[in-house]
Amino acid sequence: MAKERTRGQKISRRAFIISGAVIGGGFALGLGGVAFSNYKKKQFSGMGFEGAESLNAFIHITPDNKIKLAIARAEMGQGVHTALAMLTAEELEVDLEQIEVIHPQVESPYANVNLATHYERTSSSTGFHFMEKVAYILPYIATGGSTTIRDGYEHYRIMGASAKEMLMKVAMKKWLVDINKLKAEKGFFVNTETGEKVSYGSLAPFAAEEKPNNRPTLKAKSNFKIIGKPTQRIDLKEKVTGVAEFGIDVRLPNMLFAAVKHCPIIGGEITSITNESEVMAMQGVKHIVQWPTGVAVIADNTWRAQQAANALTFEIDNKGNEQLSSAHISKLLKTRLDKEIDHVKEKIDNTATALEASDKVFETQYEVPFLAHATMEPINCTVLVEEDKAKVWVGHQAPFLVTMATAKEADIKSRKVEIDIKYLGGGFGRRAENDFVTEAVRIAKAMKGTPIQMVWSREEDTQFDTYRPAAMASFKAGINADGTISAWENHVTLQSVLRSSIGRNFPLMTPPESQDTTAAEGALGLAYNLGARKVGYSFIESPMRLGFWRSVGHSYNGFFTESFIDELANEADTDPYEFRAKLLPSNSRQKKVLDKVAEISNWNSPLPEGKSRGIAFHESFGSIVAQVAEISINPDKEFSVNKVFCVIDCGNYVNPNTIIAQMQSGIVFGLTAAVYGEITIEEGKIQQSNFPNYEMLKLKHMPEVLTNIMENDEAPGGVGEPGTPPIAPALTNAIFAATGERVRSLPLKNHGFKLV
Amino acid sequence: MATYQLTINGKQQTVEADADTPMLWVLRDHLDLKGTKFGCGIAQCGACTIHMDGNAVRSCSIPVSAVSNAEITTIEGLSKKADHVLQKAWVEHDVPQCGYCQAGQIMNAAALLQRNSSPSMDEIETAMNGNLCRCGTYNKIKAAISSAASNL
Repeated sequence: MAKERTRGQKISRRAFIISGAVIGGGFALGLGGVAFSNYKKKQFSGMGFEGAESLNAFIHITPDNKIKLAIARAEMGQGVHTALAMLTAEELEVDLEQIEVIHPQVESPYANVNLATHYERTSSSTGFHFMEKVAYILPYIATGGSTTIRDGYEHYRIMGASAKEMLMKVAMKKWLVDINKLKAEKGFFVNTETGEKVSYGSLAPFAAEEKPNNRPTLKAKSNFKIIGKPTQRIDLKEKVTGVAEFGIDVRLPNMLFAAVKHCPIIGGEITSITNESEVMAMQGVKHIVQWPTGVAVIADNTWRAQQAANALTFEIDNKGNEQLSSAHISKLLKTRLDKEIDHVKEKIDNTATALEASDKVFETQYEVPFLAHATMEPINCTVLVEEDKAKVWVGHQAPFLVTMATAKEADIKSRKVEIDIKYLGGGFGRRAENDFVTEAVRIAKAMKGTPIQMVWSREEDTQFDTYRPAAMASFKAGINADGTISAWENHVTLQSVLRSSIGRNFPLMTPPESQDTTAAEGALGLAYNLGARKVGYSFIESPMRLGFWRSVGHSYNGFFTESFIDELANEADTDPYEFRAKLLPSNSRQKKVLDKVAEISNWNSPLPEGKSRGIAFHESFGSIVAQVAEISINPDKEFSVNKVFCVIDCGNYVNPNTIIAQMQSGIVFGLTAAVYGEITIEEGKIQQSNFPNYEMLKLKHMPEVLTNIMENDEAPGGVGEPGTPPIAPALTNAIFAATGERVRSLPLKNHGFKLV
Repeated sequence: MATYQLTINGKQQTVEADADTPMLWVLRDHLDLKGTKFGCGIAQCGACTIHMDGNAVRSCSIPVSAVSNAEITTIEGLSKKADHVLQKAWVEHDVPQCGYCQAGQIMNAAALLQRNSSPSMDEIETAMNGNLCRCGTYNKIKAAISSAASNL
């Protein structure tokens, strides 16, 4: 296969003198199957890797021994750049400091196979192979579902090991020595007979001609020097000096700035601007762009653009949504909840019969509100549209959607879209949407040839979000005299996140209602022995735009199920930990995690007056997490969360520092929602707008978090999201333990509880 | 539009800007100092924290016309080689996650240590409470400030 070389590569090739012949051959490397063939067919653009020799689509080595590592996963704080670099460095035998992360273009080798297929890459199932093909063809490049390590744990090691083999073959030829006389360390091969050293950088041009081995031997876990060891993030220095470039920090020659105002009525449209000429006359204003749901003002700086956008007045078509309210949506959820389940997704035996035979039947209902993402970096996107091409600079979780949305809006071919993915100042699912990319392209299209940075105000970010849905759940369980459960019925009602989000971003892939995998996630397949089961969901419709929100369905189903289990423990007059422990299979990973959290929290030790504990347990994204919240609370309902004990079983893990950080992060995210989080609607409008009325947990309210990571040899699980679901029920269960008040709807502020 | 003479990170700068332009945007859009971040625009999150004559202020709410002769320091001017005691502590404690709020956090903490070189945990909590972090790096921030103070 022919390979295009950059000038730098030619020079490095010429400069290298080597003994022994170098055979020609393909440089493409995939994991075999579709990955490999598809990759061979499609010429890899290599953008961003200039001056480096490609040993495979991921690993590029410069003459001065730097490794340019392709990572098409969003770094939004969850530490994936560091983790994937660690996996590579381990097998390639280089120092982390040698690695520079480059976000590649939207190309097949970088597809997130795990997110697309929900299988491990080694699966032999037919379903996997079909979805794997789809992932490569799209190509499905996205970061979400806590999949980066699950997708990359073996993959990045294979890439590192394969590249090392290619380099080693050249070193063997150079010195005419056997493999056992070579030692790889810190980006060099050492000839152990002579002590000579040669850098990877000088071998790379020749190694690129070696045939890649798609099944290299990987290191045994016991030989790991980097994986599993506490490792500092690779992006620390740039993040403590203000140098790290986020989407909002992009600056280009002749760039202009745009501010946006959206139609204030949910689902409504702006029909006309009533003061366009006045706004156009404001200082620095260059252009006004209008579309059904919004208006943008382009000006010569952000402040002027914002001022001008704020001055806009317009007429709107409410589309009949002027009466939409939280109460209305709540009523829809409740009405639907009291009817039969539309989509039963789990059925074991006959719950009706089992309930009949139970010693005691207990039933109740729960409710959670809409939530916004509130990333610290407000939504923004920078675009340059030219005659037949476009470039987009953005922090984004789904670059393939960026490319697709840009091509569509600019009416150009996808391959004419270049992307530059920046750091994300928080993602949490919000930056997996393409609505803001489409807007930015629409704005830039109005001034072709001029790069335009669109920045939403915090108010627009809050009021034009793609929300975590409001949801309700009903439960009915049969309890036996011995404290076991004989029957479990659970009905969840909500508006479909998948249909709303995928319907907007990627309509062709919109699943039917019956195949919505997020609605009841966290309610299905619970590890507890619950006897007969009937679990499912029903949807309501509303004009609300919904999206993925850290842990998605688990964020509410975790609260629902772990609140109800706690209620059953109380009904059975059993300790909440003991009750759960009895329902989990002995010797299971789940039971071990639960036991461990009881152990580290000293669950059975008495607490002083005014203090209490609550426990919760939840599995999500391939990991098992249990948490104990230890709180102080007074009769005026003022409370503090003093400590959270957290145990995670995420199988084989990469960076314990990251896991500890992600558990803290998930806990803060979940606590913020549990205590304050609520997006409400009145007269068709979102009532919250900025941090004073959409509150965040602050530093002085942060609990001490003590995390324990289970050691085993299981497949890797996710860590970005699994820390979030258990904290709300752990907290409300602690409140119940202290006060006897069962909190069945969130947030806590609506029940008179105050975090102090 | 008016002309302003500003002292930023020890350097004299001339800026042409509308009188009501917040320092945040003067820094970001006029002077290309992008380490100072936009978060809320109403002084409620701390992402835009800078120093004005050594005090931590929210640059989104200070118009350029109100700055006059003040000495402004931004994250870019906190140290020459990323070696401010807090920056070193931030690295040592592996503090940032997404990193977006961290310049504001560090600038706020730097002003705290400037006026109180050995703050108690209560004083740290009170001083830092207005700086939001959505990633939950709060505990590491507290630890980093404590250890930085002990290294002063």
